[in-house]
Amino acid sequence: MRCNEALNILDEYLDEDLAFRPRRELETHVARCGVCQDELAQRRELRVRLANLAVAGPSEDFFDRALANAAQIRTRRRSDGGKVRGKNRKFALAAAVACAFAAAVALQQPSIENPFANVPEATIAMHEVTPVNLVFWAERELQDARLSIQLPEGIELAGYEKRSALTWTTDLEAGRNLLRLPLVGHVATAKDVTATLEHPQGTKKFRLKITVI
Amino acid sequence: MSNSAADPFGALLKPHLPKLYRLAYRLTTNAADAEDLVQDVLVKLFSRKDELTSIRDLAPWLGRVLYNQFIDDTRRYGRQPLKLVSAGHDVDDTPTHGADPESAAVNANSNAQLRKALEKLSEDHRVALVLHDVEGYTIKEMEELTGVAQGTLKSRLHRARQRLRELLKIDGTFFPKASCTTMNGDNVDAL
Repeated sequence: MRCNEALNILDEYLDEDLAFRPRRELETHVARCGVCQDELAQRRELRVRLANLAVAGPSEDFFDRALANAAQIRTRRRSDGGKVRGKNRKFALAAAVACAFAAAVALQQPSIENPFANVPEATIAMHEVTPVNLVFWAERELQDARLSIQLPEGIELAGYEKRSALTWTTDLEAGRNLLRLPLVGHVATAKDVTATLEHPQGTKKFRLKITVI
Repeated sequence: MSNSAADPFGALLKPHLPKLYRLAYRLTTNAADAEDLVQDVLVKLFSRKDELTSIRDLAPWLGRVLYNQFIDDTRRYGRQPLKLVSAGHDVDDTPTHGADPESAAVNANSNAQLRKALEKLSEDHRVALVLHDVEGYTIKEMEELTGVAQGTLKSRLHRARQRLRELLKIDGTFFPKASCTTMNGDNVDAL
């Protein structure tokens, strides 16, 4: 067994999903390969750390309060005809925030800013997830900006397959803010991915020309 | 809370709330959103309280309700599918080379870095990895919870693990790049 084959099945080995023969071959390889031993040990260690990640507990008496609130909120929603938003889902927009934005893209080396280019360009390999980074610069902190990504046919965001648009609310910190777009191209094409940022002072639209080869 | 006769809704659900909250926390990644999510689920369930007693296996059913609520919230209210991060603190920071081994070990043991890396995964990948590798759900249980086919979940889990390792490599936390050699130093294969 070669290292790349061994590395490909290490996770299945740790999941105890391997059949007898590949398991034995892997164990034989690992027994004589120091790097694969290290890799296996690191993955084991990572599994242990993941399994031990703590959960921050709820606030005091949350369960009792939540049960008591359930009936109350349900009744209120009926009378309001609408959804009661949680305390953490803010929609109040920050007032009078002066903002300026610049956008840039870079492949793998995301710190490159090129705000003066008319349409920044990036080339990605077909069927491979390639992170394309968009950098927003905000003069001051900006809360509850609405960010939309429009994707042309043949280009998707990894993890959001078959979605041509995604929109969500986000906060921008003062200074540079990085948005990583894990793009996947499925056909050879050269099309624009559009990012739109809406905020109380207006809307900014950025185009990124993505070439899939 | 009141007793089961006075409050059958509370009596039925309260034993399940710690587990529901835990799942909510894993999905949302923070306590405040987890509380909101559990609260939303309870509000939804309250209108179906008469139906609850007839559900045979309540725990997994509640998990599914919570997961569906999470997905609805993500779609409707835009829990962020992609996170904007401060560029000054993201993976773009050039890893410090030549850091002393003790500092490297401290970094390697930092759960904060692990959480940060997890948050950088796409939602689908993060959920798959968190359910399986953090919470210990089997693929079958994940299928029952999410309604996503086992093959898709396996593929997401595979990609999520790969991506997490990449992120941790970039952060210099785990997995230093190395050539692959045998114990006696002979080259076995190029990575």
